[in-house]
Amino acid sequence: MSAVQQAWLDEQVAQCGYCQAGQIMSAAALLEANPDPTDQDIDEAMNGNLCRCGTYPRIRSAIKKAAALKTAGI
Amino acid sequence: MTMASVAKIARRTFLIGAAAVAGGVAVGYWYVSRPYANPLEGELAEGEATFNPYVKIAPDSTITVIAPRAEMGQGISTTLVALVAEELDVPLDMVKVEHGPASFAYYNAALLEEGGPFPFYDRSLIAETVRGALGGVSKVLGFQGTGGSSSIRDGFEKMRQAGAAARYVLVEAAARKLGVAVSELSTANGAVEHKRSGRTVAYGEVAAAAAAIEPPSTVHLKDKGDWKLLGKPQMRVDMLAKVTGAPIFGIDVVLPDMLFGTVKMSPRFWAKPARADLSKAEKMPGVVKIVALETSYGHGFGVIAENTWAAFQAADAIEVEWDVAEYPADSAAISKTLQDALASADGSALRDEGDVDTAFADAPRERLIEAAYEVPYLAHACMEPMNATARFKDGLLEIWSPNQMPTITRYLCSEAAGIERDKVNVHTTHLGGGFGRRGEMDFSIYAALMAKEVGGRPVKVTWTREEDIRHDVYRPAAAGRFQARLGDDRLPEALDMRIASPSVIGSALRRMFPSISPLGPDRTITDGSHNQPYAIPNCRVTGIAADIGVPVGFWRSVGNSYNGFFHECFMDEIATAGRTDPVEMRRRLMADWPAAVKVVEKVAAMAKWGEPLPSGRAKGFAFTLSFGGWVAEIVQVADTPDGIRIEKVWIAADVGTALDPGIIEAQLVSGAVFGLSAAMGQEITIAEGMVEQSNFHDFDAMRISQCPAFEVAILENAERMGGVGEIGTPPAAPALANAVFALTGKRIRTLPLSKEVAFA
Repeated sequence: MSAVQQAWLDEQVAQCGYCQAGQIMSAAALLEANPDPTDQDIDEAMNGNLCRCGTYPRIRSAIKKAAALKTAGI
Repeated sequence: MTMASVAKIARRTFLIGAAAVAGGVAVGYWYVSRPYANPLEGELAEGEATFNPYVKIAPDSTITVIAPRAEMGQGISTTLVALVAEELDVPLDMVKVEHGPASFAYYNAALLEEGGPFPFYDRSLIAETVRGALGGVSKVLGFQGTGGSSSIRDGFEKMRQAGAAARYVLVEAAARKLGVAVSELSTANGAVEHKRSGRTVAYGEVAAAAAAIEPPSTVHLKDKGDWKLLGKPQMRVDMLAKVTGAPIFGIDVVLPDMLFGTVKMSPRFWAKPARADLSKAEKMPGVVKIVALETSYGHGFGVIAENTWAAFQAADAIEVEWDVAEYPADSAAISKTLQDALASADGSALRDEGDVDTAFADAPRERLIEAAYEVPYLAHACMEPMNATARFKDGLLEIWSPNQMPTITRYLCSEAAGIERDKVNVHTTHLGGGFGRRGEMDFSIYAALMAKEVGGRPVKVTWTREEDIRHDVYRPAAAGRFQARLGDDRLPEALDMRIASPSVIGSALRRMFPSISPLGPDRTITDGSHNQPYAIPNCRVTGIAADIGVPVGFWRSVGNSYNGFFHECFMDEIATAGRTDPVEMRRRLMADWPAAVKVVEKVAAMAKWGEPLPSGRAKGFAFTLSFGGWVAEIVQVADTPDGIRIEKVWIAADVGTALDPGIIEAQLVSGAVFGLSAAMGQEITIAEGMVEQSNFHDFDAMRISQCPAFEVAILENAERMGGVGEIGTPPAAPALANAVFALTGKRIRTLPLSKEVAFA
C-alpha cells in the first residue's frame, strides 16, 4: 500500500468512497510533483475532485500525513 | 406541546409515512408479536451456524455479522457491527461484514416512530403511544429501510441483544464441551476461556452445538462503563476496500455474459412519447434491443447494448417528441403556485399554542416583524450515477442494486416483472452516495424490466449524469410567510409561520403506490419549524401542501433542510429587530430544554461568540433539532477580493449517546458541507416542463478550496438517543445566511445565496 493510501486509512478519510480513488490519485500526483505542499497547494491541486460527502477536511490532513510518511521514507 | 393542541391535532388524520400506509396494503398481513424467520437459515455455507438474523459463525471461527442498512458513507455498517461485536466479545477486525438479503426480519422500527405530529422532546403518554404504534407498523410491514437518521436508534437494543444472545449459547455449549460450569467461563477475542485450566474454545468449535441451544428470552447487556468498542472511535470496516478501489458499488457489478444498458426517460415528468423514431438508434453498432418503459416513475426507453458507451450513443440517437407537461411549466409558474397556496385559507397547523390571531390583531406596527422566504428545488447529485443490474432467468429475478429500501424494491420489482415476491432476490451493494435518492425504486425497476427482454442474460443499466440530474426526486421548492410580535422584553411573544411546499409523502405515494391517496397533512412540510425547542407563548406553524407535479423526495434532512433556513433566519431577524444577541435570545427561549441550551452555549464558547472580530469578518448562528439531534452551528465568513469566503464552522451537537465519536464528527461535517453547498449555489429550475440543469457544470457543489475549517464538539446530555446522518445539514444554510447578513447588512431570504452575493 502506498503512503497516500496508508494516510487515507490512518485519517479515516472515505465516507461513501465513490470519489476516493480519484482523490487518492490526485493526491499521489500532487506529492510526486510537490513533496511538501502548503494548504494552498493542496486546495489548488485537489479542486477538480468533487466529493459530495464533504471529506475535504480529512483529505487535507491525509495529504499532510502522506507527505510526512514519504519524507520519512515509510 | 399542550394537551389542547394535542387534541386539535389528534382530531385530524395525519400521515405516518408513505411506506407505512402503502406497505400495509402491499404486504397485507399483521404479525404483531411473532418474530420473522431468520433469513440466514436458507443461505448458510457448509458447516456454518446461525443464531439470529445478525450472526453467522463458521467452523473455522469466521464470524459474519449482518449490518442490514445501506452503507452510503455514513459509517452505519461499522457502528451496527460494533453493537453486535461489543456483546459477542470480538474485535471488529475479526468480523466479516455483510449487508445480508432483503428481509422483513430487518424491519426498521425507528424509521417510522417519529412519523407522528409530536416534537422529539415530547415524552407525553400520547406521544409515546403513537411512537410505539408506528414502530409496530414498521415491524408488521417488514419495512427494511435506511433513512431518517434512524438506523442506530433502531439497532441499539436489538443488535446488542443479538450479540449477547449468541454469546450466551456459545458459552453454554463451551461449558458442556469442557465439562465446567458457565460461571467459570469468560469470553474475549472470539473465544471462550476457562482461566483456571488455561483452556480456550474458539467460537467456531462450538458454533454448531451452540446454535441448537435455545437462548433465554432476555439477555443481560453490558453496562455502558464496560464497553470496549462502543463510545470510542473505531476503524471503519469499509475503509480498506475504499482506499484500495475495491469493486463494491452497484456500478462495479460484473456478471458472466452480461449486457449493458441505459435509459432515456421523458424529460417532462410522466409525459409519454408523442412520436418516436428508433430506427437510427437500433442500427447503431453494439445495440441489442430498445424497449419501451412505462412505469409509475415515468415513460421512456431502455437501451440494451454490448457495452455502456454503445447504449449511451444509441440513447442519444433516439428521435422523440415528448408530450407536454401536466404541471406548471416553468419556475415562475411554480413560484406563483406556492405563493397562491400561502395566500389561500388552506393548511394544517402542527403547532398551535396560545392565541396567535389575537396576539397579532392588536400588535403595534413597531412591534411587528414580517418576512417572506423562498427556496428552490434541489437534486441529490450522488457521485455514483443511478444504476442497477438485473437478471431474469428460470423464473427468478435477481437484482443487484445500490438502494436504501430492499423490501420495497423487491415488492415493486416483483410487481413490475409480474412474478411472485419470493421469486425476487435483492442484493444491496455499497452506495456511492444516497442522501435519500436511493430510497427510490426507479433504477431497480428499469433494470428489472429490461432484464425480462434478453433471454436470461444479466443487464447492467447505468444512467448518464444528465439523465440522473434531470430525473431525480427533488428536494421540494418551498415558500414561507412569517410574522412575529415582540414583547416588552424584546423577545417574541407571538410567532406565525405559514409554509407552502409540495408534499414529499404525496409525491412518493404517486410513484411507489399510485392506488393509494394521501390521508392527511404531511408533517415533512413544516418539519424543523413546528417542532423546535423555543418557548413562545403564542405560536402557530402551518403547512400547506401545494401540488405541483414535479416529483419530490427525501433529500438529506427532508423538510428540515428548508425549515431550518426559514425558522433560524427569521429568528435572527427577530433578534436583530429586538436588539437582542442571537445566542442570548436562544438561551432565554430554550430555557426549558437544557440539552438545547448546552449546545448553544458550547458552540458560542468554541467560536468565542461576542468577541470583536477584525473588520471584514462576521459570524452567524443557527440551531435545529432534527431526527433527535440537537445541533448548533456558527459560521464565520470573510470579505475577500474574490467574494465571500467561508472561513470556519463550529458545530456542537448532542445525540444523547455517542457510539462512535469519529464517525459522528465526520457526519456532522459532511451534513454541514452538504447544506453549505446547497445554500451557496445549488438550484434546480424548470423551463418548458423540463429541468434545466444537467451536470456538475451547472449544478456544482462545494469544492475543497471553498471548504472551511471545522471544529466539532459532541455532547451527551439529551435524554433520548438521536440520529446523526442528517442533523448537520439544517443549521448550515441559516448560519451562513445570518453570517452574510452580519457581514454585509443584506438579509437574503431566498436560496441559493449566490443570486445575491458572490462566494470565493
